Amino acid sequence: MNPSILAEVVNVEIEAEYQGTVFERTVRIRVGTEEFNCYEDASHVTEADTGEKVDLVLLAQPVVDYEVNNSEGNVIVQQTATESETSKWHTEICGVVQAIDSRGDEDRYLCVDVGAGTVLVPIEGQLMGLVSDGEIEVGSNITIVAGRLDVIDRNN
Amino acid sequence: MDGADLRRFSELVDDDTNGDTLVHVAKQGNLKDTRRAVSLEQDVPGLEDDVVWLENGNDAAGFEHILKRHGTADQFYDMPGVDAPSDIENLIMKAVKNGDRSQIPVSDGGGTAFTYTRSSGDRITVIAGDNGFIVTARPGGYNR
Repeated sequence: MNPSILAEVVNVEIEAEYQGTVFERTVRIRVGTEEFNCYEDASHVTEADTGEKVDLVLLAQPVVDYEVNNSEGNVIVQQTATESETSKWHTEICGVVQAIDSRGDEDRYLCVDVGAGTVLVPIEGQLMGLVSDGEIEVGSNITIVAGRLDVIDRNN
Repeated sequence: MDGADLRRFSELVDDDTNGDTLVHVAKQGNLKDTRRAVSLEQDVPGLEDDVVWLENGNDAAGFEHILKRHGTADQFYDMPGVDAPSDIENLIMKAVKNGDRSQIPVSDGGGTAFTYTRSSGDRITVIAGDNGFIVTARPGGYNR
């Protein structure tokens, strides 16, 4: 499977730059009528993509909280209020686990259907035990709270 | 080097940091602003020399940037045992010394990504420019 979300790039803000090279960006995307901040550190999306429709592979990490079989609907939620305790990419996703997969590397991911597309969640820390014990499986409803929503690839 | 550089030079020398390390930092960066520096034993893909250092920096690069953008309750401070900036700094240097190393393509500016997995399973990634300056660090693996 190819988990991704089709989004419009609203704007791109440089976050980290050194000697003329950009190392980190905030990519603000629009999915339907909602807008989200994504973190980007591999030049998958740059300032030149502003206004373009892009098919993005998104990863919600690091996972700071989760709930299993307690989510309602398939959705991405991002607080727009400035909250100094959390990052500007802080994200909550709710959805159904479509697959437990890898991306050709040794890492495994939950592919979570959030309605507008699919978001990946790394199977690390406590999630590893829940997956190996079968408490999280394909079809589970989950809520994931993550410090960031990372752009890790694009399909167009 | 001026007097302030020499004072900082003597403060920084330790088991990881010798005179050659600091001469490199003084040539490439700002020694007075440097918090930590290390000469790595093996060749590091993506680095011109095998010296990596952490400066206080500013909003856009270095330790100040790392604390501002990634020193949040849902990133570094969510990790067990990470409660203060010094914990983040120690974690960064541990990643540089012991982490897996990936060369960042020259088309993306070059440099090296150091990825370190803690015993808790948490991972962090440290990004250094091709001269060894630590630009940023954040929780999570290096996904490319």
